[in-house]
Amino acid sequence: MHKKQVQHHSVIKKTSAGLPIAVLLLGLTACITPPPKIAPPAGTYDCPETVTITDARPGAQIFYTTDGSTPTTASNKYGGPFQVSSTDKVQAIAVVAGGKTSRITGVSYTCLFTRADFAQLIQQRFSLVQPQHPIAFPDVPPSDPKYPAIEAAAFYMNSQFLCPGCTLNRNFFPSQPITRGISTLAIIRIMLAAGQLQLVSRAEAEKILASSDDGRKLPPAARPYFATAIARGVIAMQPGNKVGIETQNTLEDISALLSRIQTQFNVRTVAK
Amino acid sequence: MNRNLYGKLIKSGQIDYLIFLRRYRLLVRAIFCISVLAASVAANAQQCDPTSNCDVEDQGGSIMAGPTTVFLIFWLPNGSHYDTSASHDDATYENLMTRFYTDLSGSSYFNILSQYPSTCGIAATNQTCLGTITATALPIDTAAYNQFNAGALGTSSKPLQDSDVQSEVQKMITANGITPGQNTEFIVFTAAGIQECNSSFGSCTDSGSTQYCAYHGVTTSGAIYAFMPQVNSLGSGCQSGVSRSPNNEIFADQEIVILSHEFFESVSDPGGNAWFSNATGSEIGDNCNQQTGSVGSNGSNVTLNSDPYVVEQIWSNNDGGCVLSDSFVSGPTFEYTTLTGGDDLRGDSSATSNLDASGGASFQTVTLKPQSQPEWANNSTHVRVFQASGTQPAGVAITLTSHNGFGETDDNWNIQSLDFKVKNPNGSLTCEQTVSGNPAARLTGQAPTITFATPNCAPPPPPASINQIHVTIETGNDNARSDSELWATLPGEPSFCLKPSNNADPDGVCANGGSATDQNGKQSWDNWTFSTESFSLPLPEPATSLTSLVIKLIEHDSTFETDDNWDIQGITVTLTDTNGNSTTALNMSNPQNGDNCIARLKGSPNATTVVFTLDGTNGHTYVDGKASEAGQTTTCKNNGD
Repeated sequence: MHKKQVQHHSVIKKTSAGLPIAVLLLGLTACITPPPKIAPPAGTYDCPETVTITDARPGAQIFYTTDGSTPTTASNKYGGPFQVSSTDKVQAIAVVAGGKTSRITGVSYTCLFTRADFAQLIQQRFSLVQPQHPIAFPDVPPSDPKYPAIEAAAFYMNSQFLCPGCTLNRNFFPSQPITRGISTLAIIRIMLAAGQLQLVSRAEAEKILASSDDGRKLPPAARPYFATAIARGVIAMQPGNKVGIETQNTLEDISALLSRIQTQFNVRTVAK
Repeated sequence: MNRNLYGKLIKSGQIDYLIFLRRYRLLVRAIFCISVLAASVAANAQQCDPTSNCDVEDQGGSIMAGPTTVFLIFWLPNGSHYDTSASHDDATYENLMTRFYTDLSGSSYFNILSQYPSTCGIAATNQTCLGTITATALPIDTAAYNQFNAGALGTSSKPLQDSDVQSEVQKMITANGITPGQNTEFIVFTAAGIQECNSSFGSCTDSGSTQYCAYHGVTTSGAIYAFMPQVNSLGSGCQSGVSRSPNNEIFADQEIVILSHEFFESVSDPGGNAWFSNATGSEIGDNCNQQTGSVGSNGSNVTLNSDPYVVEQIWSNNDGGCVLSDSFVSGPTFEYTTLTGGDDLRGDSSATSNLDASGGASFQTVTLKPQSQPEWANNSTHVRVFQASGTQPAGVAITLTSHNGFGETDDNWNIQSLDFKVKNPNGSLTCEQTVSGNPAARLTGQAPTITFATPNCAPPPPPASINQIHVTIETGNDNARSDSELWATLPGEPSFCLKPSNNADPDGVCANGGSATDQNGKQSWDNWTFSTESFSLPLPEPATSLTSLVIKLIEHDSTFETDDNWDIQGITVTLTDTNGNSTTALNMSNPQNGDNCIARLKGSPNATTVVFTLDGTNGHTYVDGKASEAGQTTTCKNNGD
């Protein structure tokens, strides 16, 4: 499980009467119903992630939403831990005896988009076919539900372009996050195989990546692929003019990328 | 792929099928599963996909040409081990690494590399094209892993960096007085459990998007090196599925699989600019990553110099697959780099090439793609190297042979370009011929063969023979009378008549007689005039045999007439070969300044004959005459006048 560290900074200001605001707030909280507690804290998780909401007061009822909407007593009533499987914001209120309603509390979760998730997505979107002779990944047994998708997508994901001269580890690492480098290479290679793209020349690639610090440091054989992705609008440079191959992709990133391809290249997509 | 069938595209749910209808019978085959990108893609057991081409291609960089020197650097701080068993038999581990290189030298396994001969060494008996391997284990370095960087402990949280490995290489180079070179590699072995990161890849041995087991490269100071962590400790993804130990040292045997991968790649692509696939970025080891194939009961898959090993299979362009040995014999080679265009060479088709001598007769046939090898996909490049039985082909004929399955029509194949090279045994280029077009050729069932001329490689044409001579003579201040006869003679040839006499009978050279004239209608060659006469040789002669031209004056004096005297002021001789090309073999003249001729001919016993050289030396010598002339360089004096 990967968790983001969130820091809270307390800022103490004084009122015109000279009383610290924090003192006033403490007094106020004694008069209002505090919100329930949502766990785990905000962060990036290997989804589905189980969410628990607690309120220790006797008789307290909890209502929550997962789509960012304001929770009311008409919202989902909390009956026990539930799972989030996409980037969600969970918000909750507690209603205690007497009908007093707490303040709203909310926690945002980002789901880790794994290599296996990516393999499954591109296998579906591009109808990648099963290889005649599957690769035996030590960490993906044939019994794994994602095995067929991983086998179909592996050729495009496991290239040497980013690690020239390497003996690559034979594991597929299905639970690891998919990075922008791997996803971009895979998409470009699929489109090349389908004749949807032509690689820019090495000279053009050098020009396209000339102003990018990390682009210039890419292995030479990889540069035409990333330069093509940039030149054809498959990906955009990140802030700071970076290619950002180690950036972790989210599902939203990949969905946006596939939408761009669909628009840019008029590629028909298969419904999930 | 054949497109001669007419078809109809039908959309069926998420999958489109091409339904092909044949003229006389309905043949419905779901030939293509059309993806949303209108292409089917597949992968196989290799780390490459045969539909998009596994072949590695010559990128132009240098390989490590033999003989090869390998320095093994064992970086093993006190208390750390390669062998993590209770026995900690690190010495055996180290010895096996060194022995592997010694045994590899000259093996058929190592000879797989001879098909990637950018700059291959001279072949020798029982040695590979790449020569011998000399392996030297340097003194073990027991210095701590953080000797260069205090934070580099080799743990996951504080891993070694590639810069540490490079520093270790440099340290050992300096300490041992070694001069690195293009044929020298340094292999750095680290202990079990040591983790390393390489910022160039953005990954580590235990994290990142491209986790690796080892790698090779070039240090910032130009030394070829490989980083070899103890792979057993990196987990199943780096153990190559090796569970039986042919050398009773499982840690070493698993290491040698990865070591073989890295060393073969180091030789064929030391700088990352020699042999790799443009389609996948793969080098020859990557296509067969950690594949050992079948192993024997002792766990080995090869025997090198009588010692058993389990090694990685290596990609062979020639075999279209991963292999453990090579039958390739070193010598001059024919290298074909073929780019398929917009119509593929089907998997069930084969392609052969005849090498034609001048005149068209074939002197060797090679198989570019056997039927058993995967298709050559659209826009894919394939490199094939063959031992040459000749080195001067005048043409290369490529033939497509279809082996049609049921209901299948003949294959069609577009050749977009062919780069044909003849290389010497040492890998240097003898000649190269490239052809390209869009396509350069389309082979079909009806026209399955294309012949590309290879003039760059063809034997040089024999020197053309001379079949015509043109002689221009400028007469000086003394003419050749109408009754004088003038001959010209080439070595071994019958004499030609420059000018006949009107006071003699025909004599077999000149058609003499009262009305006889030269080719220009002249009976006499008057002072300060030019006369050009042309003659055909009875049989063409090589220019080298036409070394001189003899000019002879023959007197036919009338009654009471004294001998004629004739001044040659200038002479030009042009030779024309059978191809119509002319060369000037002699061109000399003296200024028109009175008695200033090159040669003055008279009647016998004075000098009647002069020989001019045609070899560029402009020699002119009297052939006969009195002692003062015979054999002497001609002047405008003959017997003093």
